[in-house]
Amino acid sequence: MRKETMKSRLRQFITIATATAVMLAACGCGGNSEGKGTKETSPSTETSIEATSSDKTVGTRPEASKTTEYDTTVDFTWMLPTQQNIPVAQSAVMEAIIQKFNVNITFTELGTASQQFDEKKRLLIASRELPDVMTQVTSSEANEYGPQGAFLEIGTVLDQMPNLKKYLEEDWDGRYQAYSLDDRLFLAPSMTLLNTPIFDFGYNAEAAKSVGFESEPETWDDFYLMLKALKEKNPESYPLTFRGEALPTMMFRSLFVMSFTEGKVNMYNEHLPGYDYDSRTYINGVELPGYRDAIEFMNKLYSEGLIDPEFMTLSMDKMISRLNEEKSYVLMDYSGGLSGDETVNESLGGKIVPMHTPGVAGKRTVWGYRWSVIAANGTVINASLKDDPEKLERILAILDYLYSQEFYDLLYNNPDVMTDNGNYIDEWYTDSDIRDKYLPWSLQANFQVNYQVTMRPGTPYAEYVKSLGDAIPTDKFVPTVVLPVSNDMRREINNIALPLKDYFDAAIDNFIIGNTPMSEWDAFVTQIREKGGDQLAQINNDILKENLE
Amino acid sequence: MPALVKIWPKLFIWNDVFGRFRSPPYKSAAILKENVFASKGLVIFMDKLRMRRRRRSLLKRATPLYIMLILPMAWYILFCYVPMYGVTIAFKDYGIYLGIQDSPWVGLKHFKSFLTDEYFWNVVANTLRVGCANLLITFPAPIILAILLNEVTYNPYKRVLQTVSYMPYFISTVALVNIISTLLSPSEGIINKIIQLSGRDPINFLQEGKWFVPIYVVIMLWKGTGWNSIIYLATLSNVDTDLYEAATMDGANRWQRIRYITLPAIMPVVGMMLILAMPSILGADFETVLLLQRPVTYNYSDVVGTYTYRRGLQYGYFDVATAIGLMFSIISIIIILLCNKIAKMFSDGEVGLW
Repeated sequence: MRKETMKSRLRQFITIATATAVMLAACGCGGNSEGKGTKETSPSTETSIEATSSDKTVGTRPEASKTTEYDTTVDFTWMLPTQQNIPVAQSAVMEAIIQKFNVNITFTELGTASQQFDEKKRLLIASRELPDVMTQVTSSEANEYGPQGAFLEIGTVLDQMPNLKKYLEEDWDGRYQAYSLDDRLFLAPSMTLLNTPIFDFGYNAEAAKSVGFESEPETWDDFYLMLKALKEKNPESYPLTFRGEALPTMMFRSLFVMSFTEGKVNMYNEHLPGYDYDSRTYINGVELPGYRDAIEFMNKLYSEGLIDPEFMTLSMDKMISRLNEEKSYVLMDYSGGLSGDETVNESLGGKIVPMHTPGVAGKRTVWGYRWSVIAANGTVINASLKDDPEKLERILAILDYLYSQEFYDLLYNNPDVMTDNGNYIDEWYTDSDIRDKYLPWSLQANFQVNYQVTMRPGTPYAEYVKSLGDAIPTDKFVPTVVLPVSNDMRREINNIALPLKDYFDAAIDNFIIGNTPMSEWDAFVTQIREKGGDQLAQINNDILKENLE
Repeated sequence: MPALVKIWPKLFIWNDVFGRFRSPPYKSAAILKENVFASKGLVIFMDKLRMRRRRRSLLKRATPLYIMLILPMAWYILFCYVPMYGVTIAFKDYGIYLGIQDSPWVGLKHFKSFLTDEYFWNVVANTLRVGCANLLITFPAPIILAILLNEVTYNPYKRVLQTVSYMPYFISTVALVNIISTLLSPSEGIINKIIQLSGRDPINFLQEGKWFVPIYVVIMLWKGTGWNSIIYLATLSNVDTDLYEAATMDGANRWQRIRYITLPAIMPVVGMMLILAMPSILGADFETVLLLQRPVTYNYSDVVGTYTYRRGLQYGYFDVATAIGLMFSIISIIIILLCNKIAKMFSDGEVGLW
């Protein structure tokens, strides 16, 4: 009896223990929710780099002052977007910063290409578990959550950031990008590209020469003729291709619509009103002069078999194989990838060279030409750091340093990869790991941008950028209009714009591929107007009028 | 009453303050009937005591099982019921930093915003179209497969067929969609090569909205048929083989055996699975739709799940997304309740979830 009681108790105990173990394991498995590609790194790993070119010698350019003036070590967390292969903590510049400021930084790096970064950012804000520093927060987010207490008001501590303060005082146009409507600053703004397209055409120049096009087409008619000639040379080819699996089709349309509308429409505002410089009012993007022509032109290319029928679904690998096999000759992609050593052109053995978007030269607002280098996003600081003056002071010092000339030199004139005559060693261009080590994207793109320096002088891309700048008559430029919009107004605009965008996205590509005939264009425009296009144009014009007055 | 006091010690022996009895209750009732007067009220009282005692005894025997239930119940309460407080987001202008409590109340504003959006009704229509097509085709398929497999007598072959049939379930949706995209490619896909052999132009299936539903259904069919047939096969394995033998001896052919033995055997499970599958009319497989759809096919492929995902996660409008989710959850519950009631009505209570 006693034995049986013991057995039954033992059985009960085992049952309970097993159940507990299973539940605890189940709870533990759901706990880890870091996004894919998160790199949590600790700082100060050992780094070394060898300049492998035998005939290059290391120069003697200025280096970052390596002695630290700080006695105590400060720890903080920093969330960064990344497009580099090596963790930013392992880059030479970040190591110099860590040493100079005597800090331990725990980085969270997430890729920007997917929605990962934005989703993680929103979740962190919602859960109030913000890192100490977070880069790539838009100014609208900073101006919405900053006053609510999420982010520190950097405007109140700007005196501790003289380099940034100087930028802001000299760049009055940029203030609209960074400051809130009530003139408060919650972010340290990023520096942006100055009039350099990041996305453009590339083409097989040799193939174009073989069909009689010695130089790149300068007009859309020439472009069409070139594609037709290439098609005749190889009837099974589709001359123009695009990797739609990874890139949204709005990027495919962007170059056409920007050129045809002379820059009034870009990839982000096709469904929204665009500013018409002639009438000085906002008009629905689809009604702007040139927009319909752009779509019609694309439809013509598609219906004649000049655009790859799979442009909306093509993967990078398939696109590269088509270019290699000469089943396609022209593509659209990120300009850096076309320049020489990145994935696209590396796989193509240098066949593809950058090509100016036709019809751009001489036009006014190309690529949203701007006077200002200040972007509408930047770096924010957790408001709770107000209670930790030492940490806050160190972070402000680091952020301010990132806007300094000394850091610029460290970034672009790094003696480890430069020769005496100021050129970069070959590996700088051919080995992205080396470039990431000395010019990490997350720091370069957000604090000090100088694309002209990053491209080898003499490469097609550097010449292309220069020629683009030469082609633009600066005396005719009108800067991009930036409307000052309050948070409430922005929400009201988005409430109208989002349903409109859904309708627009569903309809526009059907015109290009011919599912919807161009004869129904007017009906489409009417729908856009009725679904909020007119309302948005009115709102924009009211804000414009109020601010101009 | 005085009689009760007199016989009280014979009826009960109280062991503790909770009234644990030693003497069997039926004896107590018999004593009562014998010694006092057969008061109906007292007998009922005794019956209740007897049931209480029986329940206590059952409880004692099942104690380990109840203890095992504590943790899952706690999990459900903590992770399923407590977070329901978050549905109040649907009625607020939710500021993600302000939090649920401090966000201002706006009532039915978000419900009005999407219910008055014409595009939303297009999305609902797409969802119903995809859901109904999916249910009509993918629900009977596992049943048919299970019946066919049940008829296979050579066991090794049957096992191989079973394994092969549910292997696609383990292929990730991403890989599956990639396979389909390659098969349907207008330039390299085998389907289009066959079409071209017949002298017609290749079809760009993934860019034409009218092909979205058939492609989706084929993927779900391929992926889920084998897996979902498992439950029916399990039910069929419990059917007494003597029934089949008896039917054969009575001259029933294969089809008659299926009709009169196999089908009735799995009907309760079919009914239950159908009730559980009905709400899927309102919710397509999100991952598959998201991977297959393109903006050019939104008019056919945009369903409630992807619409909510775009609004909620991509654009950050958690309040609107919650409102949509809440509305469809309520509709799904109503559908389940109705289906359960109808199923019970038509099956005289045999088929039903509860």
